[in-house]
Amino acid sequence: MAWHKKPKTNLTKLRIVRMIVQIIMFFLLNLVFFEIGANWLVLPINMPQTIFSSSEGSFFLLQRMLSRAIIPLIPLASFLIIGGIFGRLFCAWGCPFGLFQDIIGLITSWVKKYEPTHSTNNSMRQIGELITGGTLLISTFIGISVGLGNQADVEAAFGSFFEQPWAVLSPAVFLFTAIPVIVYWGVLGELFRIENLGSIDILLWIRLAIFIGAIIMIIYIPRGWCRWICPVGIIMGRLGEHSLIGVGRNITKCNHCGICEDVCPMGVQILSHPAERVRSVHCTNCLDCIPACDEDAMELKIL
Amino acid sequence: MKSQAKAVIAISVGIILLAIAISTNQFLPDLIQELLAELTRSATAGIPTP
Repeated sequence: MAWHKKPKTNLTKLRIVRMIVQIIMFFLLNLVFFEIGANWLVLPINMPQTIFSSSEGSFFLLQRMLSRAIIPLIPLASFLIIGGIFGRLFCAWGCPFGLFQDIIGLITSWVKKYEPTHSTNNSMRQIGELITGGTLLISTFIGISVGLGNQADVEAAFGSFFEQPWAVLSPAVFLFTAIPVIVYWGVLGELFRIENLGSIDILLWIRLAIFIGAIIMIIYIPRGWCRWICPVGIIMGRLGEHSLIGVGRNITKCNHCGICEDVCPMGVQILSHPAERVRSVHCTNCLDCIPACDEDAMELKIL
Repeated sequence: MKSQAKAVIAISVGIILLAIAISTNQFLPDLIQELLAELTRSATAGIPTP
């Protein structure tokens, strides 16, 4: 595994606009208390159902539907249509866990960031591929078993992993669902009493450890979770390679200075891609490379 | 196969799935609401109930 230090990136106007859009999206998905939440919004983002939300991200809904033996037409359609047109655009512009990572990155901007090499960046992605494949396999197995009428047995066998296997381990679920639930149910004081520490469910410790591990990773590697682990990013990355909308270089203006690669939060080696389009599983169409280019060589391209 | 062709195929399959979802009443907000009626045990795993 090889690394090098990533140059510090500036907070451009575009990044501020992107953050505002991310915050609007977050509230749009979490306004159920005011009965204006959009429950028809099934988007390919890392957003679980919370006590404030009326919908959830495609991958969580996919697991929920599979485990209830319902063919997950809506989440699949959401992945294919949005991924085919926009690629991983929602990872950068709409995902609440992406917003969380960006905020962590901003707060800890004084910490030196590390950029893995291209081969490390790609090989580490296999972790996410394994998680995505494993989750889908388990959910499908559960769904088939439920469909065959063995729900009680399968439920007993899988326990908490029965409905949404990945939700148990996902730090996004811990952040957006578990922490608010602990506060909302008023069990925070009970949980952290010294005499109760020994009786806390081991699963909660594991979830807390994964959450803290994810934060440490995000501090040192910008968007580390999106790059390597997030199942939504894994699925959308495959579609994003072929999406209709993406960034490209104007070859007549580009002087190969590499600033676009330096500012890319996902570590995409833009210059190694054909000029007409950057077709990378990592590119989230955040567009940070466009204002960074002094030669105006980076462009948003369609088709 | 060209990337654009793959994208068009993915979008077309997605639209077909969406059409099937609508025709089989899977796209009704009621169904999604019913599905999301409560937090899953997975999401609240390990948290003691009050």
